[in-house]
Amino acid sequence: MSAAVVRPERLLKDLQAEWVKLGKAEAESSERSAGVLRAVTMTVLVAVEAGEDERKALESLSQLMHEHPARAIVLRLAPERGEPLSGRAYATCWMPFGRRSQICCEQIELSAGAENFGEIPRLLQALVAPDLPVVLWCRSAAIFTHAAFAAIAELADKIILDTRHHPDPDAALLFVDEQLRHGNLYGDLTWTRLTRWRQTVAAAFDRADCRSFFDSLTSAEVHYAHAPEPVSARYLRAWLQSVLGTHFPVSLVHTPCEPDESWQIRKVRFLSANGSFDIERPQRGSAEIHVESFTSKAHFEVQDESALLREEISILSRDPSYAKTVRQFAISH
Amino acid sequence: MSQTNASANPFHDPLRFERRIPPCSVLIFGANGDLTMRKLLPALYRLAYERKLPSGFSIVGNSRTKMSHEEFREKMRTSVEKFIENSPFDAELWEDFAKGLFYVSGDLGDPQCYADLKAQLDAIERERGTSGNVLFYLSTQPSFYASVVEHLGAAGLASHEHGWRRVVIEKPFGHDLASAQELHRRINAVFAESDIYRIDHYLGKETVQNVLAFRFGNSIFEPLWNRRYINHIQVTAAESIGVEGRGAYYQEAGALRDMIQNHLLQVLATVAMEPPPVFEADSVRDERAKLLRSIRIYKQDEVAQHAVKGQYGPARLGNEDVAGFRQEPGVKPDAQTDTYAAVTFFIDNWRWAGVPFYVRTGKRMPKRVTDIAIRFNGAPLSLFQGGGEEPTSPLGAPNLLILRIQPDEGISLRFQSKDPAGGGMKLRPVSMDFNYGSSFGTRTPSAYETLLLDALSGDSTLYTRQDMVEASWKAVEPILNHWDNTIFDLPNYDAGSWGPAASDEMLARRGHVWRIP
Repeated sequence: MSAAVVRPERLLKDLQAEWVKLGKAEAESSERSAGVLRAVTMTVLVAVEAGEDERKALESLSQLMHEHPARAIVLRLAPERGEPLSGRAYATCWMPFGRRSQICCEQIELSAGAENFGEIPRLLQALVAPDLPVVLWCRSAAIFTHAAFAAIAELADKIILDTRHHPDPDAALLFVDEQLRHGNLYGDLTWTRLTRWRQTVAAAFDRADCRSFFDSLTSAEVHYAHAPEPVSARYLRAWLQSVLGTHFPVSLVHTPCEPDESWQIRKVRFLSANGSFDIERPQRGSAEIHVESFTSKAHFEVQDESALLREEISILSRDPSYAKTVRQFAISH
Repeated sequence: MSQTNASANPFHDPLRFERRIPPCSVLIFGANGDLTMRKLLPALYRLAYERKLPSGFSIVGNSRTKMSHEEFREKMRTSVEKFIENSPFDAELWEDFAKGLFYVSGDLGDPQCYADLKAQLDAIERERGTSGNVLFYLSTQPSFYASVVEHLGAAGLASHEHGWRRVVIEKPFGHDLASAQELHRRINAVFAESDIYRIDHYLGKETVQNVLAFRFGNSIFEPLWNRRYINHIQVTAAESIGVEGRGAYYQEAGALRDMIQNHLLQVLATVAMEPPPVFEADSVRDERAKLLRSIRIYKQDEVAQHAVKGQYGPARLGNEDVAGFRQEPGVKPDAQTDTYAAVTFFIDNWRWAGVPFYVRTGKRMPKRVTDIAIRFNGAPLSLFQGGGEEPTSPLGAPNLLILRIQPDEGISLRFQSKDPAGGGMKLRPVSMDFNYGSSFGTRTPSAYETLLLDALSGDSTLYTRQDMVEASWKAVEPILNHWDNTIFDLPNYDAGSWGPAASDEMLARRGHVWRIP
């Protein structure tokens, strides 16, 4: 199959033409139109595999765009290994509620099979939006292990993974540890999913009655629902040890649940010579702190992928808590 | 393991977690009033929804009306459901939030009321682990502020062995300089200045805070931010509505007292202040206060030249007849109240000497808008004047920076560009826009959410300090005195217009015109 040559200038020209077309269409559609607003605050490179992975990623991306309008470049790993490189440019638009002008973001798709995927990094150099941060969201474990990954990652100011989808999450985390120690910025959505848990633990220790446990803590338990030990539970253990001391005993306890109760971490228990207190997630959307007879409930919103991305994208600098946790993970590995 | 306290909890991750609020309670005086129901409770509920409030957080409401805890909870639920903005109502979360709502009825003048409140707060501290921290919120009539605070002091509620005690008061902080000083004297006898939070909700608006970010987070504008490059500044706060049933209150206050003395002078100070050495409450407030003290104080015979009083009269707007101010319920037929006020302020310091700051506010104007327009000087030499078919006047189209506070929050910069049509060197002003809504799709917190969170975490950056209050009163008092001693021919502008002609004339004397926002 002979493939059309993919040139960055062509893609950028197509984008330009798209803007002119959108502007005209908007002006013709209504006399009251306030035009089209072109919004770019960063470049987001989205590395996905064709199929379900791609569909979910694009869904999250479109939600993310509303809060972080960006030039999105989708790097699609085609199912056929030999599929040649192809590219196209288009715009996605939406009308924010109560406003008169559409907001549009640029989207470029570069697709290739595994054999030709290495042609992509070169093109990217010309396609990223100038003078703005570049974030690589590598949703595909296959692209993470592809030879082209390093060259793509080099273009990015921050790389976001999701290690729970990786066949060997430990290897991925050891790699992340090494990268963080070299000063590169990495994030992991599996870690981001734990923010609410970590926040609830921290809030519990703000209470006067829980603070009294602090000096006499002897151990902690992280209860998880579904075997094998999820990477999130091990992350949480590493975090607790990064705060409480490398050798602080934190055990992972398997507490089986109904298969339809999909959330993994069910409870964190802190034990001390004076007693214990629990932070529990009995339902998907709520958490409870139990200290003796007092129970406090908190909203535990379920973060979809776009919310997790938003959190990671908002941190484009060193993340000391994360680095310490990953270091602890590596030490105890 | 190492020790910990509320401020040194090693589990916190400031990069990712919301700002930490220590366990605490809020006691609202005037809990049956409009402000509580429309603003305070919806803001606190929203903070709980966003997990920004600590575990065990409690609210105690007080007013004269007899009510049980349960009735108070039900009433608050109704108002939160009704008035919460841009936010879902989660019935399950409410159940838990409501467990922390309590009500104690009582008369503000009766010492027993404060004994009952103390008993309730003590019980909350024991049962809900709030560590004795209490924020008192005075949402009562201003005439009660001082006596409530004195009762708090007498009942031993103003201090606590371990926890903090703070008090929030709503404007007006006095009705003139002397009353503001007297109010402060009485409140300060009970609470230290650092524990007094004078709320000005304008400073809590995201876009007002963004003025600081814009000025001091970027390096390209600050070198131009002075009398060499800026011709003049216009601050507009226009409302399209009238007094909406508040005629009786408003005829005693007026636009100058209600808006300029507090909100707009604070906005002006934010635009014009010097950079603080650090972004900390007292550093920022020192600079604001310094700026307010630099405002030129007019002599009585200078007021007419620099201030314009207006009052709207009846008009037909579209197909609707709109009443004039004097026809509003509760307003005297010969009321001399200012529903419009415009003032030319000068700031006598090295940065701003000679630059007029035009500030205007009014009711029943053509639309609701608040913005700050910074008009830069024209190019020193008009190279292109006469070069095209239409001469471009530097006066007609200079560089203009607009900071839009509400609605359509954002920033626009107007500059000249060559018009490609028709050939020749014809210039046309174009606008470069930053729009909050499109660059940040996130929900903007309401001013009350921001300010309540600040008060609970002990950050007073956005609260007004007494020296700022006094400096603002000093700046407007000569105008108030002059207006009080003069009979004006009112009304002098039609509802739905941009104000009286005298206001345009005030600017015209310096060759300026009000822009139409």
